[in-house]
Amino acid sequence: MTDFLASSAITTTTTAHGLPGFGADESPRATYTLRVNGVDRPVTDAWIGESLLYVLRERLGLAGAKGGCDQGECGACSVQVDGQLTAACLVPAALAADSEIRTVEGLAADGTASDVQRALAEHGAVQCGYCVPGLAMAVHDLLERNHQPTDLESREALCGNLCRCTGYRGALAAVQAVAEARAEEAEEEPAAEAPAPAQAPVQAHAPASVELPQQQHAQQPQHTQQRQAQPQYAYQSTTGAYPDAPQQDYQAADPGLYVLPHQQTPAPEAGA
Amino acid sequence: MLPSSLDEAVTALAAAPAAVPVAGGTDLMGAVNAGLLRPMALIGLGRINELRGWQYQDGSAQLGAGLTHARMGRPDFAALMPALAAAARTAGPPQVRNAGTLGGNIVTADPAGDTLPVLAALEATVTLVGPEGAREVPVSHLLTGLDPLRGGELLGYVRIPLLHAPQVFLKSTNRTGPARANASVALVLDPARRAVRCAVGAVAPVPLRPLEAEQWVSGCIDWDGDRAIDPAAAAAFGEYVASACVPDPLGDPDGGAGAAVARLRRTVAVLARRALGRALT
Repeated sequence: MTDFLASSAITTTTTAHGLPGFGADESPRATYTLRVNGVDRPVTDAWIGESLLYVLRERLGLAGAKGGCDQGECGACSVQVDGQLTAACLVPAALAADSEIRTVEGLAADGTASDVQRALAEHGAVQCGYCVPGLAMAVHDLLERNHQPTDLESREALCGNLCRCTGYRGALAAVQAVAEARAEEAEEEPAAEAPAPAQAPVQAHAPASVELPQQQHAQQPQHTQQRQAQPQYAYQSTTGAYPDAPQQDYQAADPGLYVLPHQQTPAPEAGA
Repeated sequence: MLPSSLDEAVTALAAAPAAVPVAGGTDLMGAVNAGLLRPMALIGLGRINELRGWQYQDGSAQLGAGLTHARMGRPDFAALMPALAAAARTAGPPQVRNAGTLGGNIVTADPAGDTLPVLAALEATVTLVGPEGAREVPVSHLLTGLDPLRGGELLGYVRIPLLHAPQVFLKSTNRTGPARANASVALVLDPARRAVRCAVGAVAPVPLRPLEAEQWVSGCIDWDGDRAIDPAAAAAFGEYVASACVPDPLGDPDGGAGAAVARLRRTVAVLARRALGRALT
């Protein structure tokens, strides 16, 4: 009897450690390097199905991007991959190996919060804070490609970032505040510029970028390089991100069945 | 594994038949995160630059399967293929549209895929590239499984006829903001053939074409004049499309499943009527 128990125990141990039996890990693994915020970070022996979000948080210790839904619905995990705002939970990390990844940790240079992060805090866009890293990435992304976003454009850009606390008013106010602050800053630098009012309409605010507007259409292929090369205030159009976007597309929509991103923001907080 | 050309990708897939080709990864990673899929290997298609652009080719546009929804929503694209651009713009939040691709949308063939009814209405064809070479298949044959993707094949290009006429895409969702469609309608006019083509998405596993309703309504349109249509005819078209695409409600139309079907039918009717009205004005 004793012999039998002992031998069975030994067999179990061999199965667990040696042969690929039940519970053995057969998943394919990979070793690669991720370039995060300008630093090469090696990832060793990671399952190939791990999302970028998981690798950033659990393997690289960058817990800025938050895991919300794992389905790309909530925007809490937003990061930039090759200059494109992306839901990190939907990117296989192994395939982002030679991409430039920028996370919310990369926004705060030398430990000081970026202007967007400060504006979000100042305008009451932070309550529980879970959505804020994703929101900060989305606002940065928006302001990088559109320096004077309208309210509609801001709402469309932030429509993928769900916030269940604040109601988005603070975030929208922060976008406008940062856009104005950056415009003022840009005006002060090239002092030769004709004085434009701080809250100028977009047309009136055409900065010293004579040669740049032509690049708007060529922007797509060399997206990353171009955006990095350009000064903050450089390319700008009358309508923002999409130079000749048919605005009426959005506005002509019947309110009933076809509701568009900008209408997602909840009604003003019920104060009255 | 990140091949940089379509040929390399086909070779890689032939060498590892169990590998999963990944374009944007938005649908794939959803399934992986939910534990529904454990890929044995991944072949990333994101570095294949030939698939990420589009070009003209005798009266049609050849779109690379790797075009992202964000790219398709841009105005230069919208000028030629307005319905496809509209579908791409409402496909999801920016985070998803920046990654999700046209080809991924077709291959995943999610019933609620927003570009699918548009491609069905446009009668697009897709180029499938495999180890034995390329073949062209109508997108409807691919979606319905009449001519499915064979082992080792990748979707390379989508060819769309340029009709130079109004095209409309409308969708109805359960919530505001970019969300899954519970019904969508794509409607394109083909003035050269005096035809209206319409497809209804998200109500069935594949987009549905109400062919009889199309034929009937194209006879009601004054093609040589201002392409006007009687509002009553437009409303009848809506009803016709809805009854063709949504089954008769079984059971009590005032409660339970019967009511849901009746409501869906009404939604489709309204979408089709509005789409026709917008295309003709």
